[in-house]
Amino acid sequence: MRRVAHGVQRHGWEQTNASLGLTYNATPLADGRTLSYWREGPFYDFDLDEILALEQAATTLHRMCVTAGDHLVAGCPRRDRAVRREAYLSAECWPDTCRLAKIGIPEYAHEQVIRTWFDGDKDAWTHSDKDLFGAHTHAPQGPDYSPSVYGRFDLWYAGKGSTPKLLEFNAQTPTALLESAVIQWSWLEQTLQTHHHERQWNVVHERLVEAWRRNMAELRAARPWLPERPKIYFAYETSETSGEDRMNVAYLMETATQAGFPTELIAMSQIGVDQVDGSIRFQQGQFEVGPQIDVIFLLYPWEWLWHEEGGRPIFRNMADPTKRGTVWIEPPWTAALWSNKGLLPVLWELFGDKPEGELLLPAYFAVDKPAAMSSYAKKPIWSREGANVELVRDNVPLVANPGEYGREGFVYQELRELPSFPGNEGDCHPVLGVWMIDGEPAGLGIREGVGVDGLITRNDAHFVPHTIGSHL
Amino acid sequence: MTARRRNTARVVLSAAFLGLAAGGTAACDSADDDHTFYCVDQNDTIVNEDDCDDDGNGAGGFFFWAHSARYAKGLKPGAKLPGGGSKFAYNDTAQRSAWGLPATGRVSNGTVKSNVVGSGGDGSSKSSGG
Repeated sequence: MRRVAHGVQRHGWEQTNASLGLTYNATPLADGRTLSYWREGPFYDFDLDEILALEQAATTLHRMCVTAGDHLVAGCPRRDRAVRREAYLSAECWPDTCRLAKIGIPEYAHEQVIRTWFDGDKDAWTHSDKDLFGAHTHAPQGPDYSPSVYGRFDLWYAGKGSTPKLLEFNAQTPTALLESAVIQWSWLEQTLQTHHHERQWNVVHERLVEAWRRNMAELRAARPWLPERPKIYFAYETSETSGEDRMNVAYLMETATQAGFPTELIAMSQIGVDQVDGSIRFQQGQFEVGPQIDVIFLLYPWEWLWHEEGGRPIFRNMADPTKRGTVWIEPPWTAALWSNKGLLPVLWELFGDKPEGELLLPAYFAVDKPAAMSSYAKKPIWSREGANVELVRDNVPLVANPGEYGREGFVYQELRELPSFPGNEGDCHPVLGVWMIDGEPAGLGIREGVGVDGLITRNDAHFVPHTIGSHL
Repeated sequence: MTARRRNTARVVLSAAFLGLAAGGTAACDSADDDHTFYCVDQNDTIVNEDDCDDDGNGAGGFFFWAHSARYAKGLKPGAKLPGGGSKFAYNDTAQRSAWGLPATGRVSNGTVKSNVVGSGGDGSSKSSGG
């Protein structure tokens, strides 16, 4: 693994990238300057052995995360049907009795977190688990299915001789997808800076198309009344004005279209709840009843949604024992079980003393933090783009990123400073984002920060393309 | 797994996607041009929609349909609308028809409530991704 500082610079690269969807390259800074998000010229180059090591690490980490998910779900009282039935109106989940409550997930969402986690398993969550009061025993339903398409492991890695370490898992709303799948691939084809037969670790596009086909086929097997090609809605928050959310969602939608499904791009505000039957609808006008949404992808955090007005009705609709409720991609378990920093201490608790624990950094909830731990990254349980992350080395603050997160608490992860590579503006610190498509590693996208501030990967970190076996 | 290909054969993007990249409007952006209607009193305070049907059973007084593409959706009776909108009399059949409302009678607001999720609760422009 090395950083090639002076690669080919394409003439008109900014326009070329924009024409492929990277319309959000210019990042305005607080001091009025503009930063280019995409790095043109520099790139990272890997040996195939290193890519294989990352691929293996991601596969193992994914398996460990499945174990952690089972562990977390088992630690929620609402896993038990009898509890759900008896405590229909009362609270059972408290920070000291439930691992989901501990990280701030409202209790009303727990059942659907558990259900969507177990979907596809015909023994773990049966009809009677959903039909608590036996109102639908005349028409028992088989197991449901909750499609999950993609996620991204963020790894520390310093090349051959080092072991990849999990920094975090963005399993719910990972972005930089378009840059990884499309922009760096076209960069590779245009700059021809490697003759190696593998060229780049990047099979994201094809795997996404396959992932839609496989997941939707499973969903139709569980819900045979859906049309052969159900329409998939794609929602994003239109108040995000840079275009990043919109183009990432539009690209994901493009892969679903290529998989053969009708699609429609909509705004979060157009998701409506019918007050009569609780159905979820695509609402364009004020005076109409829009079409029911059977399947929707949303680039919007569950940890925000379940505190909003629509949260309860959406989860109520999801709980329909007849399986007619809207299917949400990514499902709520991705947020509750994986895509928060509470996963890190749970993984360490389960695997810290096992061989695969070498892929982890020691991590603890605040109450369990060892007194001797003097170098650590303090991370809010829920946070985006490095907000409220603080790095401490030998009890001395190294760098801190401001933000509004942290209400639900913090975790402490042993400090592992990102590797350093010299660059024109200072030391460059890459984080390796390994794309998991339909549960398998499928490619790499790298973001690098610059200088001490760049040790935390923030929204001003650059996207840097990569090659395998470059001759430069 | 190692037998599977590690990079893509080709990435082909559709005209629809490339059109979006070229600055085309997303389907949903057109919704920004849609007007939102509220039944208001003479002080631009939202009142119950029953007051704007013309069955004579209103609460008494004279009411208007205030509309603007800029009004937030989902406001409740009692809220005062900001300036900048337009309005017409509740029983102005020509205007009602022109705006796609039923010419007379109660305007059914539908049964679907939208604008119930999104914007992170604070309306600021922040990325939902990470």
